[in-house]
Amino acid sequence: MNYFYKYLFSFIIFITIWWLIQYITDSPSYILPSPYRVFLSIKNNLNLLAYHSIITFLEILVGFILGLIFGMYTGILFIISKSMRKWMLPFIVLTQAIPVFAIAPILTLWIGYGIWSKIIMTVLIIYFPITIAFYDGLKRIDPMIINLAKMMGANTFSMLLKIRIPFALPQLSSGLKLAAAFAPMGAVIGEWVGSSEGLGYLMLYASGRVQIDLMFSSIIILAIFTILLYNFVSYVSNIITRWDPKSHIN
Amino acid sequence: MDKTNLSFLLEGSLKISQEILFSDVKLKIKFNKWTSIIGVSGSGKSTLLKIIAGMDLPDVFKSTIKSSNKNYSFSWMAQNDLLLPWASVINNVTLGQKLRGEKLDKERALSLLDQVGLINEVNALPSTLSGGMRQRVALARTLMEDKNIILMDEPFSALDSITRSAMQKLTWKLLKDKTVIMVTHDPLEALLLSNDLYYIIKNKLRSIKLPNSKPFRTVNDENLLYSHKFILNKLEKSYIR
Repeated sequence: MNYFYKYLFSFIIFITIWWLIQYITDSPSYILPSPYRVFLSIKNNLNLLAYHSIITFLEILVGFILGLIFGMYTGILFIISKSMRKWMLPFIVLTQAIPVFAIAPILTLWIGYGIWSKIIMTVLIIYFPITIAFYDGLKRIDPMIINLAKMMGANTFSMLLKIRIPFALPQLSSGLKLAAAFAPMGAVIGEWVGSSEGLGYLMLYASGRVQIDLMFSSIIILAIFTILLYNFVSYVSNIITRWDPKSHIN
Repeated sequence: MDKTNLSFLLEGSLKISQEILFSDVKLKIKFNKWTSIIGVSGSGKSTLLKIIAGMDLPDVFKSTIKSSNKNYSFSWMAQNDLLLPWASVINNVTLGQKLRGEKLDKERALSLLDQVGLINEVNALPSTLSGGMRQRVALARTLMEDKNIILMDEPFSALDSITRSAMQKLTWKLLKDKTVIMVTHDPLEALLLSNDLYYIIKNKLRSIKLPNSKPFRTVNDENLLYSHKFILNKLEKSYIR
């Protein structure tokens, strides 16, 4: 509950500052609409916003899950295979050197305007932080524990499952939190480049028709998605790293 | 019984980069006895123990040490208890069986935990235990493995002196009939517990004649105090070069 009040408090501060800026500068509503106007716009366009939100939410969710699976899989490959780590790691870094904004139009061209090009954008954005965080976690382990497990007769699989992966969970959690903050960005970039539905599309649509209040509504809903996803991930992270005092400081 | 089966021999030398750590090691390990190796920090005693265990060493080490028999299985107990922080006491004790995918022998684990005085902490996490208790969990885990040879790398050196003394007695009680190779920097500990004792001086491994009494020795044993003084003198000389 305490947590909820913290968010409520930040929200009130945010709305107050927004309202003050609008009040002092006396900006017209097509430049900066007042919080109240945006509230009205959310109320009046509830069905429209709900429809586009579901699309974007789906893209974020599926992208997040796939990114998590691919990222963890790659991290494990890097640990068990020296040649994978040697040849794949530079390749993955290289893919990160190309801005996602540059890849987005190509993806749309290849995969089309549908939901999948956005999901792939999301996967591309979160794959790297998850892979690197997980790989680092799998690697950063007391070598004596590995030696001990080998002496006890562990094979590659039981070593991974019972020793390395649990030890890597605190690091993976950091990667997951970064991914939760980045994932909505991937989906929206995808929608900007080419789509006919989703919150990113709605933002462009509203901006083109100078419906700035609708644009702000989309942004606020997207922000709420990000906060929800981040908090959900934090919650799960806290459970899986309960044993680690370093993951829990007040 | 064939006499060669009662002991095995380790021979060879060890280098770190170009510097010699050991030359012409000759270490005879007798079965069902405690053999201890004393040396100052950096003398390579822990590395020697890792070689015996067949662990991978960093590339800077070059070892020619060979064992006369390679069919032994080892268990390991070190200064760092190496407990898994997310696993309860009982799950740490049965770790070996879990890793090998064997059926868990909970009854035996519980009986061992009873012997080390932790029967009330079966479901506790390691982080809630004291250093001495954690080391007793490690001892129970070592016993659970039931391997031919138990290797101990300064197993008591992180404990306070009262706990250490109690741990030494408990460990002796539970392991006295096993083959144990212990590395330590504490001459007194080695004298209390060992059947055979070696010390490292000037890159050589030398054996020391022990008092006639049998371990577990008492501290007020006159011969033990004499041996203690002798070892300290030797080791101090090797330290101030």
